[in-house]
Amino acid sequence: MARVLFDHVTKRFGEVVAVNDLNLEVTDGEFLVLVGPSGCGKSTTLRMLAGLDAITEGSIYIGDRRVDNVPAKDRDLAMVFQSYALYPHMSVGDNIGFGLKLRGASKSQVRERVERAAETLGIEELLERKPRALSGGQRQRVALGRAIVREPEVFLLDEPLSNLDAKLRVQTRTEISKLHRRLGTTFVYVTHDQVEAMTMATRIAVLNLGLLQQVGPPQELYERPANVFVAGFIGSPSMNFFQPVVRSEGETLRLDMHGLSIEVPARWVPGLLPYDGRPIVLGVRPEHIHDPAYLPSGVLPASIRATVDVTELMGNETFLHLDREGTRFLARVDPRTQATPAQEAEVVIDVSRMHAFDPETEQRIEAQAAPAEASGTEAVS
Amino acid sequence: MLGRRWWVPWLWMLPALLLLATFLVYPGIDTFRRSVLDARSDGFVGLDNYQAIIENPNPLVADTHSALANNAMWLVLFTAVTVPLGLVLAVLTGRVRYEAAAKSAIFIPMAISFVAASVIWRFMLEFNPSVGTVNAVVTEFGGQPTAWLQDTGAPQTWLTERGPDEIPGPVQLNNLVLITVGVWMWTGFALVVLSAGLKGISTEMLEAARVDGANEWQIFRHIIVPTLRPVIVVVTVTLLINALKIFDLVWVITGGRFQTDVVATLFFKQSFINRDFGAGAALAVVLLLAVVPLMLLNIRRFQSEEAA
Repeated sequence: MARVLFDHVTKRFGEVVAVNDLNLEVTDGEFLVLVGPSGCGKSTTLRMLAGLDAITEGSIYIGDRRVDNVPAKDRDLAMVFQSYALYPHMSVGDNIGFGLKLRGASKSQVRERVERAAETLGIEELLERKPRALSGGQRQRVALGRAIVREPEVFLLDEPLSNLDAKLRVQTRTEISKLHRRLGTTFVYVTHDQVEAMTMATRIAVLNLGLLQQVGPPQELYERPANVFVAGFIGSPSMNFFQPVVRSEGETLRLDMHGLSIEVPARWVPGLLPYDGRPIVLGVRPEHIHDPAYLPSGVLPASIRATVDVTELMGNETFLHLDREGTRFLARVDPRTQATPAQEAEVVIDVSRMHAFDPETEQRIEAQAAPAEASGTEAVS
Repeated sequence: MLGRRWWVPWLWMLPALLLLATFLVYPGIDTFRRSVLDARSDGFVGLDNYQAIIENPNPLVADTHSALANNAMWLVLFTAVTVPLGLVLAVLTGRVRYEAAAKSAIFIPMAISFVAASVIWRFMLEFNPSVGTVNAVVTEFGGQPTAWLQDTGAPQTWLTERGPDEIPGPVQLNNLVLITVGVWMWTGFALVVLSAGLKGISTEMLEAARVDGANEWQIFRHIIVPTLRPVIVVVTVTLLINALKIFDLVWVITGGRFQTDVVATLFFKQSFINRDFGAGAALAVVLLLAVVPLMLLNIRRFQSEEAA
């Protein structure tokens, strides 16, 4: 079966380094999502795997086969493109069956497998139509059909949902997840949308500026981001960052900022001790800032007063855009909150869920494992 | 409101209609009128001029059979070579780094005057190797000079050491040479239009085919050609019409001698050299009738494109 291995892969376009010394293994049957902002090298990575872009340095293995010099047509991969890239002059059935036909399958074989793929995707009644007579969602299915009919070793998906409207995107997201579970094939999925990454992936690889930032299961990236970039990128709305100074006070450490002093929970003390007297980057997710009136249980509270800029009622929650002495941050609180714009409000930071980062390297400062926390992170670089 | 009066659209079309009437409809009708009159457009002769085209009574003065056959050959060979050649060159030049230079080089014949280009070829195809570039090259490599423009395919008598020897000419070489020059001139046109169409093909689609397992030939055959079909049709129809109307090239290079006449050159010859306006007009009408189906095809395609 097919694992995929990137071994010290570098891609340069002239002077520009698009992918920088990438080491990444995708295990067989995994749903790996490559995520990052535009220009981070995720699409280039996928295209190198597909054989559409040449590798500058390093090697790529599919299964045990080194494919650096294997042309795209011989790699036994299937790819779903962002624009779907359907063949406009062919019917849906011919679009799906094209790859099989090229590989010399007999007519009856092609028809049978095309029908089976169409059935899987619920597009049996569209087989005779031309792509231009289809809606965006239907085209997307045809593109998926063209991929699954070949029963390839690895599926590559390049932002397949970005041309769909919001509702269809959510629906197709779950369908692709189901498809992955049913087929059990390796999926490599590229997106800039961290929500897609979080919801679909078995593992996420975060890239930025051509460098792999962190690889791990969604939960782990959320709970233990390896650096400031991952912390800010994973999670929506994104994490708030503060720049407090660490100050020791007897046996305990405190974080001082904006006339506020927070006691550091015990499990961070060993990690933060070397930073005594120096600033660090403190990260707090909006969902870990609460309205004191509706405090959930298990919170290690640290109170903070701030001016409310804007409130956004989402229904199930309210976003508070807060400002404390010029530092803006976002809180995701209970919708019953009484906070009103332009007034001061008290919110509570759950210090037990805080994240700390080195201000220079931007790397995570590890806390001692809490009893319930997952083990082992695969921080890279 | 002004726009609601029935005559307003006609008012706007009037200048165009007047121009068309003066320079197209009237000459067309008059040509037809002359085609049923005698040489000096005096007496009515019925369909005699058309009959003469069919019966070819004076092959040494005006070989209508040869002109029709040559034109048919132009129509088929010229188009059948130029379109595929333009397509292949469009694909190939699209892949090289010096794309613009390569395309310009191929397009240059279209940019210069066809008469000038024909004059150049007339010199190049001259029999005497010290004038004709082509024969200079042939003799340089040890070959015999060839009468490119004069070889009608008739058996030729050569004086050899053993005495006169007859060499059969299996094909009428000079027509093929002229058509080759035509291909050289028009390939640039096919190339430019087709490569514009090629640029419109999304690279993602080609990549999808590659991932689907297609090699470059299969991509060309199954993706590029079908996608380009409308453009190929436009180029083909344009070239067919040009092949039917071909005149300048033949007129300048051979003047229609050595059985290279096409309908257009023969019609000119009949009208203005042999001073037989009736015969010339009849040939012009034949040419017009031959173009009509192609025009209809073009209009139909245009309408279906408008509808889509």
